[in-house]
Amino acid sequence: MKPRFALILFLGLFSVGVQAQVNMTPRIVTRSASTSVSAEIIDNFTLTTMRDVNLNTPAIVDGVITVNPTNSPYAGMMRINGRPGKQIRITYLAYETLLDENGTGGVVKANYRISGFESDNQNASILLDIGEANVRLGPDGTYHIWLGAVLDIREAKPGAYISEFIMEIEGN
Amino acid sequence: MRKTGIIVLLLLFGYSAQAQRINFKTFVQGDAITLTVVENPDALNFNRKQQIIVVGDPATVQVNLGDQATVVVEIDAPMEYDITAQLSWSEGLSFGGLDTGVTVPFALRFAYNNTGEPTDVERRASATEVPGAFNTLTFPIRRKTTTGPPGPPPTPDHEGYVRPRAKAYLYFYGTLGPIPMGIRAGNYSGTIELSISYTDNAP
Repeated sequence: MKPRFALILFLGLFSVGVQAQVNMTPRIVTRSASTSVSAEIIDNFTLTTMRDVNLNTPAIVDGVITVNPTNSPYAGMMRINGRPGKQIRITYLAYETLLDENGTGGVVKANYRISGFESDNQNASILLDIGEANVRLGPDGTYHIWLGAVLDIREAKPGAYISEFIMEIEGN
Repeated sequence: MRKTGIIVLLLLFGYSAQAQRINFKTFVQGDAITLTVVENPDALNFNRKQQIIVVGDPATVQVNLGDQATVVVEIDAPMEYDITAQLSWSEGLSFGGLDTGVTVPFALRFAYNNTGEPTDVERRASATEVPGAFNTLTFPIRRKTTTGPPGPPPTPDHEGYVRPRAKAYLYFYGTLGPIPMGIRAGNYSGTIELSISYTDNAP
């Protein structure tokens, strides 16, 4: 008989403990919401002209001035900066006919040529396809372009011939 | 005689249990707080402030409290509540929400309004900006008046009584950038988690 009573007493104690716990907890009402933050970031690249092409100094051979972009010291130079490894497309106007600003009727036929390389090493540069090229920026995010030209001045008369070399670069 | 003694003991224990069971009932009517994102529910989109954000841009893009890009959350709760807003957010936005190791710095700022103006413009104008570095904020749903004696205590909850409700607003905005050099172009995102709680003081 004795052991059975002892058991009942214990149970009573436990139930008291549980009740006390419940009442001590304050009630918390919580609501939550979430939203997000976003930004669409696009690639940036810049084209810097380092040096203009010099067409006055080279010698005229058979009425033609030639500045070879891959080795001439008179070639112009440009640098593209952007994300390393980025693919870019270069388009430029390869042929242009320049007329004398003074109206003498003189004509200069210009054929621009460019070459490019990842680093500043003109002799290693590769001649790019006429008018268009797809290149990839180097590991340091740069690409160098040299600009040369073949100018036919056989039909030229003394005067002023002005040209602006236009090159477009686009990336994706 | 021995048997009687044991019964008395049991009764004593029974009484003590009853005494602990006094229920401190708290007067909270329902779980009556609702949250609605009323402006820019999709995201705090920095492109709404500056359409073109480029890689490597050293300047930051800043969305201010008055800007259209600001996310506005409406809190609807009983008027006399003091609520606690707890915020957590990604401190850097990651490419496509994935872990690519590079993140774009993002600093969240937030403000609250509990003065109950009728229009959005007025509410923003009188909102209180929370200083940076805080992520928890406790404020009353309706700001107490500073003039005159304090009002009467809230009416206790009882059957048939409808607690007056009011709306408070939270504003999320912040600064993005500077954009790191050489990162991939694309969508960078992160999350802002808001948790509003109301704690009973009882018992």
